[in-house]
Amino acid sequence: MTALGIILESEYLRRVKSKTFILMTLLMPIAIVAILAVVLFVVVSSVSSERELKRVIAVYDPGAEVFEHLRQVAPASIELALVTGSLTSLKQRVTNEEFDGLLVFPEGLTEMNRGREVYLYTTEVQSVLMQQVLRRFVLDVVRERRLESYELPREVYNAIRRGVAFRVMELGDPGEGDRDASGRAFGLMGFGFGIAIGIFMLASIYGGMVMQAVMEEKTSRMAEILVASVRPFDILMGKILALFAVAITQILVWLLMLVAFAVAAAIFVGALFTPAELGSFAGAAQALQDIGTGGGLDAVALPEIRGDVVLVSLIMIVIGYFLYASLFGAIGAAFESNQDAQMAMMLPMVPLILSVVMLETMMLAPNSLFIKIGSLVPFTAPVIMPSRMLLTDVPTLEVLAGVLSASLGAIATGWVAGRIFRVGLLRFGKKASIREFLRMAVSG
Amino acid sequence: MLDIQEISKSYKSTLAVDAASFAAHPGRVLGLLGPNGAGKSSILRMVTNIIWPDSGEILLDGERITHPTQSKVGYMPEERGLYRQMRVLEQLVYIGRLKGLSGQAANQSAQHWLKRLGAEDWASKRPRDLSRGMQQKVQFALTLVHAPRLLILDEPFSGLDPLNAELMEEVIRQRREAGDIVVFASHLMEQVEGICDEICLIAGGKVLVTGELQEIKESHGGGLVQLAFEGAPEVLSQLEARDRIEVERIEGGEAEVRLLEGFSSDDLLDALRTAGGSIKHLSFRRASLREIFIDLVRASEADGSAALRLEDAA
Repeated sequence: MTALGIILESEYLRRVKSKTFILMTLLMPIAIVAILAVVLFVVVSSVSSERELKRVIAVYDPGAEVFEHLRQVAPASIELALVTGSLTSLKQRVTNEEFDGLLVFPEGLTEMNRGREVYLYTTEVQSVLMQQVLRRFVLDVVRERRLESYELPREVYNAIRRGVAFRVMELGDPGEGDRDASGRAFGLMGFGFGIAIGIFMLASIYGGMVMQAVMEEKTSRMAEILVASVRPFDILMGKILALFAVAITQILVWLLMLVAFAVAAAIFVGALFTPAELGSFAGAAQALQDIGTGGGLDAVALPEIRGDVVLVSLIMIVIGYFLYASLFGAIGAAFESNQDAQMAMMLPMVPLILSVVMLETMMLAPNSLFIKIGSLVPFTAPVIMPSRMLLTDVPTLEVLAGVLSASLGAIATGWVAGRIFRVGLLRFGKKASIREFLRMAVSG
Repeated sequence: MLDIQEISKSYKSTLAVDAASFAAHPGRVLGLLGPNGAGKSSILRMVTNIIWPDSGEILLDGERITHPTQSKVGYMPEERGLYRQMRVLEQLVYIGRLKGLSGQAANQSAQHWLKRLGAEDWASKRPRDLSRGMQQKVQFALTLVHAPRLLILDEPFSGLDPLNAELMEEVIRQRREAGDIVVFASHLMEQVEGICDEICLIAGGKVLVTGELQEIKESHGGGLVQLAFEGAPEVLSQLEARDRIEVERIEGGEAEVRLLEGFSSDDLLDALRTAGGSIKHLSFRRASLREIFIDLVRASEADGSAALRLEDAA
């Protein structure tokens, strides 16, 4: 086995066998699931308790135009009381907590061309849920009353009320037919963001681990023995490759856990609940979504991912990782103390963070000059290019240029890192100034 | 044989090693001696292929020391270290494999050295759980694990407890008998005298003298005379002023002087008698390596041949 192979093997096995790795790999998904479960539980339980909370709302309806109708449609949790008197005294009663809120309807609300405001006076401005519920049925009732005042038949009213589905169709090739692409943009955005964040995490987390691994050689004072045995470049590459393998291992384990969890959940749910019960869950979920969105969003459709996007994503993941891992490795070699290295780590983090910031622009304008440049510059291309390809048709030439520029960038940083590594690894107890850092890169 | 031919190395504006040449032979131990900053570590780092000479050549058994041949070298740097998290046996095997042994051979050799150094019970421990003395043993085993042809030890005895120093000396002698080449850098002269066959004395990056220890002691360590006398102490300072002798020490009627070239002990006796003094005792003493070392370094500094500064050429 070559020295590179031995270093790769040793570094990989040492990490994968370590308790920290095993714990992190196993606990991370459990922790995430647990956190999500807690959040979901808190939201669901507070939403349902909020919904069940009895509220008494005073209704000031001088024209008696809406109160009766409101009472008919109000949910069980809301008790409506028709009140009269001066607004000042009514507000006082809300302040005294006699009522949870006071709805004030103006006179002539149902008349045409008289769009007036309906007021809700309350001390509980923070209760979004109450406001949402009130707002929905109040608006419904007002609309209905207005239509009724024109003596429209109910069917007409229902017809008007029925929503219109807005479908986006992608033109297909002749003979193939067009495809429904509604909501795909959202799906693509989500996916593009996911890929970009994935590359960002891989580069920063595992790249950062390369830095730690390089620093370990210095702090353990093994660097000199190691450099007396193998080429410094082999040491650096061995570490970079080993941590890449660690990352892949960790991700694979997580994917397996995800599949296992999904299968287990399906079996568990199937065994525990009857279909009827499951149906009621679906109803509850729907109700929850209604509260959240008011039913305004189209469902997010899972996008189809083209093969070339997958390919470029994979290539860019590897290139991006190598590019940043070499940089972090060089920093680890150049700096003696952890704090200094942490400071210097900010340097490569800048383009990484910048590329994540650019994502927002990209979602809206994937063909803007800014994004085009971003997808071609070596340090941002790995994050930008795959998601840009997902969102828009990037000319093949540009894709190749982006991949090429990122590859050249990775090779160049690898080369520079190797030189810094050779010199930096043997420096003990000295701080590297930026000037020295550059000198190491140039003179090796 | 390790043959170092005219190697030079400069860092920025400092010439650290200046056309140094010396040789170390199989079955011999060579001591590389010099004050701090003399260029010892630079030379050792060049021999181990960590840094490269700007000019000159380093040959091990006629081969240049490059990436593949550097595995014939076992190097114990002055800056000692072990992987804190890795088990002792594991790190020995790791380094052994990096030096070209197969996994099995590395394992066997590691076990052998741990046993030889009395550290076999510590194989599965991590260095952070070891005493300092035990860490030193592991460090030494790390240098020996791949049975190097050339053993390079930088200040091997520094920080070593006497038992470990004894053990290390024993192993060094054993390697010498096995026909390996051993080079070590040190400024602890007593240790060097006890164990070295050859020495190479450097200062300011230059080799001042190199060769068999005994020969050097004879050629450089002679001419020291211990005297006990009565009367005429001024004669000694007069002789010194005329470059006949060097007075190393004078206390009442006792002195130690060094006879300079062309001036014998008889001449000294004559001069003292002529001035009316009488000799009570006279004996010759061979200078210790330490004294030779100090003398040579002082002389070289006086010559102005110490570290040549290129005054910020950059």
